[in-house]
Amino acid sequence: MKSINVMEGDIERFFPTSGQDSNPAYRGVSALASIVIIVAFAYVASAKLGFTVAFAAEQVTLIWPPSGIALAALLLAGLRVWPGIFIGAFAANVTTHEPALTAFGIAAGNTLEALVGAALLRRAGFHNGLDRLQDVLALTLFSAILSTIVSATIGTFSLCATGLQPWHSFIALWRVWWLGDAGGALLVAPAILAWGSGFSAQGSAPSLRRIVEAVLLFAGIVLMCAAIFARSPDSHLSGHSVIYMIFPFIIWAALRFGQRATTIVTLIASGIAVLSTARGLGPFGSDSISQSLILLESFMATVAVTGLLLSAAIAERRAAEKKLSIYAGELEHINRQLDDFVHIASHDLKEPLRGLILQASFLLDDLGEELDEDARKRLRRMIDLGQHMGHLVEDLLHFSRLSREKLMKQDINPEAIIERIRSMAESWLDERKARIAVVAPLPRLRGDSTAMAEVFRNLITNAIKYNDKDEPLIEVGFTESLETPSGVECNVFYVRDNGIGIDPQYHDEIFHIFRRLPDAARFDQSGTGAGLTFVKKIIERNDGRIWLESAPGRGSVFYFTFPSAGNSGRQA
Amino acid sequence: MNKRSSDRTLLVVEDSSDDYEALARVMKKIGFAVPVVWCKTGAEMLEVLQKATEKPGLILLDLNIPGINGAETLRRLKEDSALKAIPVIIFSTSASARDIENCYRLGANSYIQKPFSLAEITDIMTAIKRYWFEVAVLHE
Repeated sequence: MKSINVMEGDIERFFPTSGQDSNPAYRGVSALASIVIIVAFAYVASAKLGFTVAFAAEQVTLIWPPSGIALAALLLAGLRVWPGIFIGAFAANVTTHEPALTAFGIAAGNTLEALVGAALLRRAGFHNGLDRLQDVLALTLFSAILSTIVSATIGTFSLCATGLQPWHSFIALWRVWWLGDAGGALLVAPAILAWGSGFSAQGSAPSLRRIVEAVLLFAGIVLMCAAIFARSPDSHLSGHSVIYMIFPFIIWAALRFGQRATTIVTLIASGIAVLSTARGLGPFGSDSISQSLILLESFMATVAVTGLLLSAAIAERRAAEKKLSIYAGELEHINRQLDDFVHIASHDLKEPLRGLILQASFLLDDLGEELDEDARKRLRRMIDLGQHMGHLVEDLLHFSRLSREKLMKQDINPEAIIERIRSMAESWLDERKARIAVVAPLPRLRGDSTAMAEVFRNLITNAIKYNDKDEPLIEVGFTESLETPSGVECNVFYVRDNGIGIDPQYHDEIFHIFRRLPDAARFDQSGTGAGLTFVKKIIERNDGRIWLESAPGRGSVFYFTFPSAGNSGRQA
Repeated sequence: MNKRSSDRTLLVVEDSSDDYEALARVMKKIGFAVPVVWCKTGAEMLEVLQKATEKPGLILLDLNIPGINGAETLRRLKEDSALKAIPVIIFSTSASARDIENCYRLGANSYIQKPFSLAEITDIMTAIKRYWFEVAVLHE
């Protein structure tokens, strides 16, 4: 019922009941009137063209372009331009030696067909650009197959009822009428719609190569169609199977040029096919009229629908790709904002936090003597907690810097990095009686050497800190390929220790920021639990992976891959 | 003529009252006898320096200050041929490698990250006092 309402609304707009005198309304009506006149003229002109290939009766033609023009006009300019179709159809028919009554009936049928087709398509949410599969399917079903029944029935009835055609040819006439209108809806309407709507597959001006390709395409389809259809039926080339040579051109147009070009190529192919067949030429020329008609119509419908579906599928894919790249851009933007937020928030948190700690320190300084031991303990606890929070904020900031800042591409010598770590922590290592063994040679790498030093420093200090042995032993090595439960990994570094080991249930958690093992504080009171998070971040930013093998009491082995280790060769 | 910094003043650019109090307390505690000039902004510092007949022996400069920020203040100072010889220590909460690098590039003589405890501030000021005002000899 909705479609009827739409029509009524449109009629009302055409014949406004109020505000007739006001200027805008008048201008609106005159603009509408000019569209109506253009539609009427286009209808008459294309009808005359259609009549030249009339088949069964003077009014029943092989292909009826006006039905495509009528449908496209209603979809592009709105249902209110229907009077143009009626005037055009009446004028076209009344000038082909038929009584006014018959012409009136036929014109009413043609107008109603376009209105029903357009209304059904609008209800289905049709896109005029035919840029989705559902649009092509809707056009085929609602316009080509369903709405054409209206015109065929009313038109044929008008011809027979007014005595222009005998009733016994009703079925045959109806069928030809229906096929002709369907051809118009599938061949002519898409071309007008694709070119008349805003949809465009091409964004910028075409390059010379593209222009040359387009010229080749159009020359190719014209020559191929001429070779197939414009020769006598007894030629050796006129078997039915040669007509499939059209398809490569349709596919070419759809894949490379989109909906607009496809509709034109289809129109050219069917134009040549229809004109040739009407002159008794080509593969369908030798068959009987009704048989050749059905064959040609079904072939052209197949060509049209194939081309439209293919280019709609490609348009859909393009639209999906565009959407995806927009989403990817948005995601990147949000990520950056989140990083910025962490950076700004933690930076701004530091100042007041220092104020709190300092104020508590002043209090302890001034009143230290007067306060009892419990109050002094509480103040110290406040300061300690504040300082711990300060370290957490620092770590958060550092983590956000690891995500934000650009990584350098430097020549890295891991052995030199480990040597530097060893010399800087010498007194601590001596105190702990710890030993770092490098299973040489380690390959040189390309990457950010500061970040890489942080990876090794964190892994090595963890290995010494969380160690209950009298003599902690750390082994750093490299292997080109390693078998793991999840497959073979290439270019793997490892840091092995004889420390306390980590229960497998914590193997994921230890990489989360500020997560520590339950007994971690026993080994390091001031740690924040961020070191392994930094390590993981750095490795993942270098497209590597980190994992571990460990169990309580059996030490740990941290493995990580560093993709650029593969092509950098080994150290001599 | 060579001159020991101890003959001169320390100029501190710091707008945080907590830091001001912390530094003042620490200086008192460690017996920092050098006259101290306090500025709250970079503009104030540049104005003080223009007017001063004697240049300070050292500037302690915070980065996060109102108006023209610490880095810009440092840049203007080090571009001024009359002032660029004054040693500058950046005293900031920022631990960002970019900030640190930038300050050194602009001519900072040292960069100290503001610590979270009074004890550490005491250590820092003791070291500054010993080196910059007891050992270092500046050339005119």
